[in-house]
Amino acid sequence: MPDQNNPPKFDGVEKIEVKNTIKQRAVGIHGDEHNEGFIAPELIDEAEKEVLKLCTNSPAMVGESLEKLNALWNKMKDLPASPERSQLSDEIFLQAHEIKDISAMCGYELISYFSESLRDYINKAELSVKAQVVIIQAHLDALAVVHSKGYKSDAGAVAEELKLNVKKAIDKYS
Amino acid sequence: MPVFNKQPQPYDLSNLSILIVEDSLYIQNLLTQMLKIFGVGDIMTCSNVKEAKDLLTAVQATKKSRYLRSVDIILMDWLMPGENGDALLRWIRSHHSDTIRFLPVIVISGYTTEYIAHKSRDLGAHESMVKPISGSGLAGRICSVIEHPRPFIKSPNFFGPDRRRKNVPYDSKERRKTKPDEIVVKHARSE
Repeated sequence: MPDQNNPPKFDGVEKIEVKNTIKQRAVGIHGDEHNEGFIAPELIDEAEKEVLKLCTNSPAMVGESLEKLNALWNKMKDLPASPERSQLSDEIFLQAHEIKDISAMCGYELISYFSESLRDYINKAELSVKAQVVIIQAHLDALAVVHSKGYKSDAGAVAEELKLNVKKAIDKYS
Repeated sequence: MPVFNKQPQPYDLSNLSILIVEDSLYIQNLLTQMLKIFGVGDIMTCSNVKEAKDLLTAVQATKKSRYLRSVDIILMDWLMPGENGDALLRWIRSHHSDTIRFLPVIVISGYTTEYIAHKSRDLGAHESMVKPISGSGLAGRICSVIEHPRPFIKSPNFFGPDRRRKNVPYDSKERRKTKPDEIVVKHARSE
């Protein structure tokens, strides 16, 4: 009997045709599976409205996520390099990633910009604890300002100034 | 009344089951709502790779159950706590059960680079889409999986849907070691 965990070595190329049972079921018993199908445009429009609905609530969601982010950072910032610090850093990474997802989806470009940058810096192994503290704090300060003032676009004088402040911290400590 | 009606027809997705693997509850809820609007009959959700493996093992093994529906399509995030989407994709494509390893997978990524698209394709994803999610983007990926099921290719370094979507002449240096007429054509075990 063949061993499923150690299948025999295979050197060639096989093409495996898989029966399209999904199409059969998607056209239903009265449909013809040889005809092309589609999802009705009105349903797609309705789905787009769901995205808009989520976006109406997104400032509150981002606010909640920022609170969690700050709470995690308050626990993490004074810890020396340790497994606990790494664990918190992973949690901040995911929280920042979530903020980035929601804000990007809803057109909050500046929040998306800083949360993506925070996500990418939080796990940089080459940073010392001191460098990390300065860089992460700069990101969190920028996020707090952007969220409290409701800035949306990542262009313009205010956006440039906030980006410059974060860049200064990065350039000085990384 | 014409004998052959080749007009495109709207899908009835009420007989399909889609598994969402996404750690963000906001995005998970959004995807669930969108799929409900599209009329998908059964929507399952998991927040991480382990949950997804457990669920797939349970539902695909009990395929004939009256109470548990098997999964038809997987929608999965790439970046998740614990194991990432690549671990789930590898697990699916290397699974011994045909009901799991041939499952269509659509990868959703928050990274705006081509890296994830290429990596997920090379690990055997059918489709990939970059967040932000849109209704038309999601519908397009689902329609593509339903309408254009590509054959699976099994080679020493790859198992997944054929990465070549079009059969067009290729002018550059041939990198394939196996000529088209040397490829063995098989049929997956029927359900």
